[in-house]
Amino acid sequence: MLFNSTDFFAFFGVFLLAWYLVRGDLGARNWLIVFASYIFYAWWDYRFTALLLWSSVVDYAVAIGMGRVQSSSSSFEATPSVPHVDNNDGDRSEDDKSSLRLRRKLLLLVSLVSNLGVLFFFKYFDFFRESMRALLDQFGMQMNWTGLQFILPVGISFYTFQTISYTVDVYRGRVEATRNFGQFLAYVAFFPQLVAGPIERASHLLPQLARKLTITLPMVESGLWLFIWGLFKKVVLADSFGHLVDPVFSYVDPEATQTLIATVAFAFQIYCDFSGYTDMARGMARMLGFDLMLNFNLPYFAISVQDFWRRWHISLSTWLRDYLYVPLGGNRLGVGRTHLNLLVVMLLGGLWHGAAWNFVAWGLWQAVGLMANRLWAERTFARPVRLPGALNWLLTMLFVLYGWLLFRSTSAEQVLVLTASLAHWSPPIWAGAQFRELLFLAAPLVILQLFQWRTGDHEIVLRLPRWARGALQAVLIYVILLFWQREAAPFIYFQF
Amino acid sequence: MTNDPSSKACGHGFDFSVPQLAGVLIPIVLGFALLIGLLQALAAFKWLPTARPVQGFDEVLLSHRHTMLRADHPAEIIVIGDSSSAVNIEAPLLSRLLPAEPRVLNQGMFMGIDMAIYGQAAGNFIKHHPGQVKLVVLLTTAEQLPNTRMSPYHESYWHGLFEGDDTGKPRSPASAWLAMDVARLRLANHVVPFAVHGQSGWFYGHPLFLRDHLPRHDGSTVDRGWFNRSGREDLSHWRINPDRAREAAKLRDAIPRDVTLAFGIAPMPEGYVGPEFRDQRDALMREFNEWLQADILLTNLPARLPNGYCASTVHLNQRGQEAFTRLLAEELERLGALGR
Repeated sequence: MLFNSTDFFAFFGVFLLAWYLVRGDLGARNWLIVFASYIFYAWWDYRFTALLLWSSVVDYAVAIGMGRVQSSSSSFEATPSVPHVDNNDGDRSEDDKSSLRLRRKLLLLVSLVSNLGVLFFFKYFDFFRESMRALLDQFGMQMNWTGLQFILPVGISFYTFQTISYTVDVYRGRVEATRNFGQFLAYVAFFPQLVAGPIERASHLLPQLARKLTITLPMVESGLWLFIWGLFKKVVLADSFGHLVDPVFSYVDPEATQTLIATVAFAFQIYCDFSGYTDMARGMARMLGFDLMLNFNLPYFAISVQDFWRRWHISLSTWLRDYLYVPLGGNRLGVGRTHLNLLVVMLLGGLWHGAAWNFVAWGLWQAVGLMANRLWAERTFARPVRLPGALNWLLTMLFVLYGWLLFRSTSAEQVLVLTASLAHWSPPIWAGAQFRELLFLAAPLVILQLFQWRTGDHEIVLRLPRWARGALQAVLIYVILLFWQREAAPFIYFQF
Repeated sequence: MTNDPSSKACGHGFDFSVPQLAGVLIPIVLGFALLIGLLQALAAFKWLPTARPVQGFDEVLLSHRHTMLRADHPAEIIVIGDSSSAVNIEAPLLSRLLPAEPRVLNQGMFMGIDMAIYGQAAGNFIKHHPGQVKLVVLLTTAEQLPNTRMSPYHESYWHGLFEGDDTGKPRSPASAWLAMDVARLRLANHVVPFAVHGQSGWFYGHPLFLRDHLPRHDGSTVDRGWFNRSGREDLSHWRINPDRAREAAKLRDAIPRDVTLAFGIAPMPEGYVGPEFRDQRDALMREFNEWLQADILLTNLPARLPNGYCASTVHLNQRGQEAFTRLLAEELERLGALGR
């Protein structure tokens, strides 16, 4: 079920009514979330709800297991004042402690193997099989493995990462294992953010599911604004930008102007598509009394690659930092190891987006950018030269744009064709129209974000008088209806 | 709505009253209603600019075809049919290739509308230009014949043009009530610089450029796509839709008997259909002609062309357009179509 479909509006209307009815009972509230979320997910393919349930059950049980081990371990560590009369007893408690640690590690391993195994089979198996087959072909060898050709379950990468973060946090002792199954199911399947994030941490969302929520009028107002603005970004902006993008990326001999306009349009399209989804998710959650994390912080105002990754898909970049980069050693093991860690993290980050080599190339491109950024910032090679902010921004945007060209391409051949096309300039008649459309579509977004950037206030629209905000929202709704498609276009990030 | 149960097991509470919530929602609803009211009033008092059907490729095409019905054009040959006729035949080239260079006007439309409308696009031109037209060429794709009609919007748009209404009929009652067509055609199309969608957008740019292109090419358009699909389809199950048969009879009635009607089926990519498609195409053509009663069947035209000449399963690209136009000219000359 897509947010930009009439089905969803009917679903959400019924859900709000039920939400009002269950306000007096915490358990019923969470089970309502679970029930609605599973209906929401089953709308795509009911069979994949089994995967969602499997992930939840495994991680719920694993975390409880780790919690039990933790409490046994704590009981050993909590009695240091008891004198050890028998040396053998002391030896046994050390053995027990290491055995408990081992059990916790094994439990974590069960969770990782289960989650990553499901992800691998559904998302990556055919990719690796095909890559292996192509590699063996080079050496004249044959491989007879048949592909699984599974349909990719929507949102699998998002909820898998969310549940992994939970078990790792329980393992690290940062989050207490929940014993409330309904709460945990609701945490994994919470429908506003189930299929495209933000990838929520248990430490942030679980406590909200465990307590009474108070929905205030400012929450409803800001939630409503976020939802309408997000829907506008998707239906009006992202899908219209797509019309400028798709033909060029399915074209055999593009020219420089086409490639340039299409790449810039794609930068806007993917931003409006993904951040539009996030805005709607956050808006809905806020209207229900929940707070979801900020996922985009004006990424196209970044003045370095590092800055871009602090602003773009924040829930993924912080996930990669906390659960991959830091455990690999982060920047604590010297320059060489830091760069190796960056490379590994960004390559895996690229692969997270999809099982295709263009995403690996995109990850590699981002890793190179981050490494160059670090070297420059630490002045490892360069002399201490400070570039003007505008130049920093321009260089960063050029870097990001080429990254989007890699991201949107469907083959290495296309990357080469599009890159080569940048050398073929001609004054075509259509350029004016395409360029005007690009500017026209970008204008509302750029104008609002300039205000947000200047004031540092993401919710600047909420400072408008209520009548002015109401009029603005009415116009946005009207334009959304004007652009509404009977067959809703899916969100780009659903495929990940 | 305010409730604040102090019970620990309480799910959630609302820290506002119903009038306070109404205070948030009413400005939005009111603003929305005022906007619709304003648009309806402006339309009713004719204070909005005239409709500009430029947003869609289809509307521009239909609008051009309608304008040409009474336009001062010396066409002796009219091309009609679905989008394959609009795209596959370059009218000025066909004119140059034929003896005595008779002017050709392409009035081709697209699939999904009543085929009788194709007949109107030629018949009304003939009526307004008595004694001028000698030949009508109908070209359709084989894909069109088994299909049912799909787009009542485009049909009502076409019929609306005859009544001086170029806004198109509302797509739905809700659309009319919300003044969506008024907003789209009388307002948005004057200020929103949207390019033509799809591959065509990168050739024509803005719909206004498409509008300029059509008269310069006597109504012919270009599909700049590239057919790169692999895997042939078995189309042997295709049967002519009985609706199409009825429409064919109406199409025939729109063309005077003293004007020759030639009928052909557009070629498909070799990568899409096999050599056996030729027999199937000929059979479809003969069967369809039982209702159409065309004077000439263009069975010598190729049933398939190499993928490099095709933009899609139903369109040729610019290279294919030139090749096909040459083949059509040779075939028309061979059959003496103009001398009948």
